[in-house]
Amino acid sequence: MSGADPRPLFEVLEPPPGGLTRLRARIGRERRRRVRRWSLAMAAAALALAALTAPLLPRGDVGPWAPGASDVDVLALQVGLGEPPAETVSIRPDLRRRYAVREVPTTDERVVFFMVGSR
Amino acid sequence: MRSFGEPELEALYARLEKPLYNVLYRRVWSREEARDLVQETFVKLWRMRRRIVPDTVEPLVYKIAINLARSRLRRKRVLRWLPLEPLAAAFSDPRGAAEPELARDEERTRLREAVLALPEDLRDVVLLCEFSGMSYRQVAEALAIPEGTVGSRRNRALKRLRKDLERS
Repeated sequence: MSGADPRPLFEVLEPPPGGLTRLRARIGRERRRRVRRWSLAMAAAALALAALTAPLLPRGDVGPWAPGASDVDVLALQVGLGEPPAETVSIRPDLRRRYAVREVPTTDERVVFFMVGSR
Repeated sequence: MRSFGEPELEALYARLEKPLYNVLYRRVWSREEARDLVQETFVKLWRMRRRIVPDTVEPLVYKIAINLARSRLRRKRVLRWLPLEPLAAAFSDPRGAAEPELARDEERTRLREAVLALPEDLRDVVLLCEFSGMSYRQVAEALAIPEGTVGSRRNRALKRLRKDLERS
């Protein structure tokens, strides 16, 4: 040993070759893992949001008493030129508490109008 | 703040791979583990790249590396009694592995034992001072100790190493 000075003994070792290539590969894997994690998190969040908001969305069936504009020409009905709809006007029992319906008198007995209001 | 992206990471890797490998090798005494730890250090650095201040990244690299080495050694200690690796494997340079450098191996063994005998706080300081090329201020930052402590610990460590090597 050259004297007792430890410094010369700390020989500088060469790291194994290919370190940068390995690092690039590891970072690539890391990136792909992150993208996968993100996609999974986003999908889970979307599912959770859908599950939470689904009960709050209005239901499609608002009642048999509300025929669409394509089914009945309201103006023609009002002036007595159209045929009234064949269905009977009724309110679903579960909606009765929430909606008020009142018949409006018209000059034509074939024409029946209802005022519908919600509370 | 300057950004720290992949080109900066690669440039830093090219600059620090060798000194970092040398520091880590003297912590874990295994070429393979030192290589893995260098890689892990940079992957960890990559994960925290958005929070990196490029001007102070060097001490951070060593801080990460030393913490990784410490936890790896702690894990090992918990798992099993760590036997010393066969010295030939631990110290041989792959390029000159066939050369019978017995005297040199003996010196290395003595130095290794002397380094292993150092308390951890002295060991980290002396290794960083010897290999990293960082200033005392940067070494202090990497080890989260006062700057003045770096010099005193380094002197103590070198003194102990000299004493141990003289004795053997």
